[in-house]
Amino acid sequence: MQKKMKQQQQDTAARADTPPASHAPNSRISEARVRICVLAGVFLLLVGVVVARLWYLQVDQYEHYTQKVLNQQLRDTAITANRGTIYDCNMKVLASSATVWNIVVSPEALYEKDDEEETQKNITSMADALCGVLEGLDRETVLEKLSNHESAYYMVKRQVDKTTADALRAEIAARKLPGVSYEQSSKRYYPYGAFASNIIGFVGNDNQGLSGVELYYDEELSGTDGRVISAKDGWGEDMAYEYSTSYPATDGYSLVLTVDEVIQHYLEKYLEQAVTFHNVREKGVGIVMDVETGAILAMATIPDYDLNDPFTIVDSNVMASVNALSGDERSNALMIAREAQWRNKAVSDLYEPGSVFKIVTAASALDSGVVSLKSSFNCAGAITVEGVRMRCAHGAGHGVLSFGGALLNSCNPSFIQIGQRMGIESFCDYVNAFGLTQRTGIDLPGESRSLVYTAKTMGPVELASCSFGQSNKITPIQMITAVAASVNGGYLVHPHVVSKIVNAEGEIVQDLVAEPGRQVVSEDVSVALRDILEETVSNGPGNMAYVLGYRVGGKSGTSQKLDKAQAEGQEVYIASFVGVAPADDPKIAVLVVLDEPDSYSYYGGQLSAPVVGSVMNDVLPYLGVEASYSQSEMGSVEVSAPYCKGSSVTAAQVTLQKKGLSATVIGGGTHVVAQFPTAGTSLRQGSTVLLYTEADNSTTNLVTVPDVRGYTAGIAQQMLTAAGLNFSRTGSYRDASSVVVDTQSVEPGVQVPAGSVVIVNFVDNSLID
Amino acid sequence: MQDKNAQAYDLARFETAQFNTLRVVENKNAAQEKRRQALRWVERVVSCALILALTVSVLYSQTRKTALSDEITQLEQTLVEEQSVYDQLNYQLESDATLGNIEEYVSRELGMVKTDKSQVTYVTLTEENRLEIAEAGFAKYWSQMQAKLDELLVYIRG
Repeated sequence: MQKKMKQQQQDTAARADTPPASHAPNSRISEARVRICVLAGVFLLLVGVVVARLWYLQVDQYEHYTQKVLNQQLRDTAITANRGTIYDCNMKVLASSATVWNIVVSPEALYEKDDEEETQKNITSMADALCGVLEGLDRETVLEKLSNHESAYYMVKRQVDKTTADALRAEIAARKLPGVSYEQSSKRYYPYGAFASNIIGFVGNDNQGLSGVELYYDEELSGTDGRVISAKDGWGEDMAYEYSTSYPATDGYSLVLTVDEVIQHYLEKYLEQAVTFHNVREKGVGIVMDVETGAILAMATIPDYDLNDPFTIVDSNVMASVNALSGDERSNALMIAREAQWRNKAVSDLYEPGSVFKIVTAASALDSGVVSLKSSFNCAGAITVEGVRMRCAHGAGHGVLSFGGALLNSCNPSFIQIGQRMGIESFCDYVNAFGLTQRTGIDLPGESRSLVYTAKTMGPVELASCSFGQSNKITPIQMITAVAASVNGGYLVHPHVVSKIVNAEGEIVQDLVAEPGRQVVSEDVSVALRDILEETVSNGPGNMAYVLGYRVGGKSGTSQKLDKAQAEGQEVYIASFVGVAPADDPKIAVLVVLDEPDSYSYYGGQLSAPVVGSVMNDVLPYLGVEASYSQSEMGSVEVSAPYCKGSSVTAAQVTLQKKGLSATVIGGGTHVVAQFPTAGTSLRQGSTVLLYTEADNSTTNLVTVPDVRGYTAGIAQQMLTAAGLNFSRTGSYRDASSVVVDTQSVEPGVQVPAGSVVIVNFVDNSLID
Repeated sequence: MQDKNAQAYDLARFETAQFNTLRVVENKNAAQEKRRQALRWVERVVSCALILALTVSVLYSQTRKTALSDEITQLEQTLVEEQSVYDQLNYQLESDATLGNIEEYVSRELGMVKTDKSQVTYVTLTEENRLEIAEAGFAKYWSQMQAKLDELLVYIRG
């Protein structure tokens, strides 16, 4: 250490001997200061520039760059909300959604740079795979799209189910092809296909409602989509653990309809039979309504369409005429045909209701006090109003009729007189009170406004024609609503098809309880009308709607389509019938409208009334309405033939007697070896069952079926019984000389085993509206 | 000249520094010192080990978290797919079991017919009249007491 210090001292001395450079100390200091100042100035300038730039970027352009950062660093993925389910009133699923997949291909991924052959091979292989697994693809189109290697996104097919998606995955994996992705999506399913089509409606490709309740309640059914926001790296991959926020989706609400699947089935079944049998050209409509609440239990427009394939035209004739066109013409024609197919005739189409409207006129007249049940009217077959002759459907005239008789016989001159007594103002007031001048407000899209005369536009001639149901045009839903108000004590109900809105947990979000409507007519008027309507069905022109054991009331209607008659010179008609049951305390009303039937008749009482009767026959027991047979009805009640084979003859006879059937024993044996008709066959009480006791010779005991067509019920039954056959009756149950056999189930002259049941259908030739 | 230069520099700084002599005390307990040194080494090793263990556990938990999240995502996807299959099958079942199909099958294949009216019997249920005689005196209090005891038992049992 000391050596070191000594060395330092020597060095210092050496330096001290060496003279420094010849500069004054003060000048050196100022030079240094100048240099420092210059450097500081430059430095400050640079800092200033940086600060200014930072200010510009981070303050001035804050929004712009924040957005860029978010776009670059965050991924925003939508979580699709599940669409709500649609149930019938018994919670049967009518419409629901399921997860499906969209197949997306990236043509860019198939492209091999500088290897055209490999690229073509990939494209061909991909096209083979896609067309082989997915149905409905056009190979040429697929090849064209895959050849566009600048494209990174080609939607091959939407809404593919899991089975197909898995099959495609396996195929693609086997061929080792890149560029196929599977986007999760949702598809709407309608399990019952063409069922309640006009009520439920359908959705489009983006699950948006396009018709029916799917459209009307689209907001409630859709729910709210959620989002997942997560960080992504430079390659676009998720970095979920860095940052991730999710906003869960809110699933759509579900709807519980007032529609009953069973009632809807019966309505569609019988309506479809009638539309087919009577060659109805402009569709048939049926509505079943709860008269106390306005709930729609069933509604159908036939022909309808499959909700799973709504864009396919069902009518082959219409499709053929569309296909005969080309280009824009074809597109327009196709669009018009589709809209016609989807149209809900029950709420969207206007029609002249005909004699069914007489219920409204009768109720209004009674309530206003201008007529009473004891009022009488004269029908001479026609009546002239302001020079316009209006005739009765019964050409010869009815003579003097009571008020009830006028409605029962559907006498036009009588109702013209009733209308005249009311006067224009009063008549129009009641038309308005029955809700016929505005929409009913039913929760279905596309409801039309009616075209009715107002007090200002109505003259005496219009009053006359409106009184019996011509000239005014209303929708079927308005008609049945007015009828319901006439028979339920006079209260105007609000028709609706949705009763409840529920959430995913089944909790009721909204209960769509219909508000009680205004009272249009009094309770007494309602009671009086029910009696008249019941009489119309029991003994009047509505007897084709008669149902054994039940009190059914109703009114038929046959209206001419005047606009078509004027425009095209064609005489075409609308046949309709409305029924209410039970007549003493109505629960349901059924309206059937057949637009332009092309059959042996065009009267509502002959064509539409049997449809209403068939619907009532199935629906009333289903609703638990007890059947009660009068003495005269007991003979027509049908029972099932019991199983007697193997029983002793005595026991078999007792069994048959308990059911109201009689027995004929053939052979000398003690036990029954065969019977005819066989067990389970429907037989009228009083029919005969043949019991064979010696081998089965039932097939050798043949008889010839007589021709009973054109005969009345009594004579037809006698003829069949005499021939050793059993008699079963359908159609009109009225016993009158005008009610005769129209058709028989077994052709005359055919040999059948003795005891066979021949079903004969009766029509009432006196029915006119 | 030398004086001028000397003024410029503080040569006193280069004079021999005076060092204080330090008195070094000899460590009497050398073994203790060695032990302390050893302990310090142990401390260092243990600290390092702890830090390493913490780091490993954090890494492991992150790895586990990643693996579980992946598993959850996969299971969710599987659930979605199975739900889709379930919905599809349900839809097919419902499509086949429409009322129209059922009616046709039972009538054509099984030979069933509709219930005829004679097979239906309507039963009216009415409540019978019930007569209760009011208790009096001791019986009344006894039955009240019994009722209270029953309530108490129910309460105790929970």
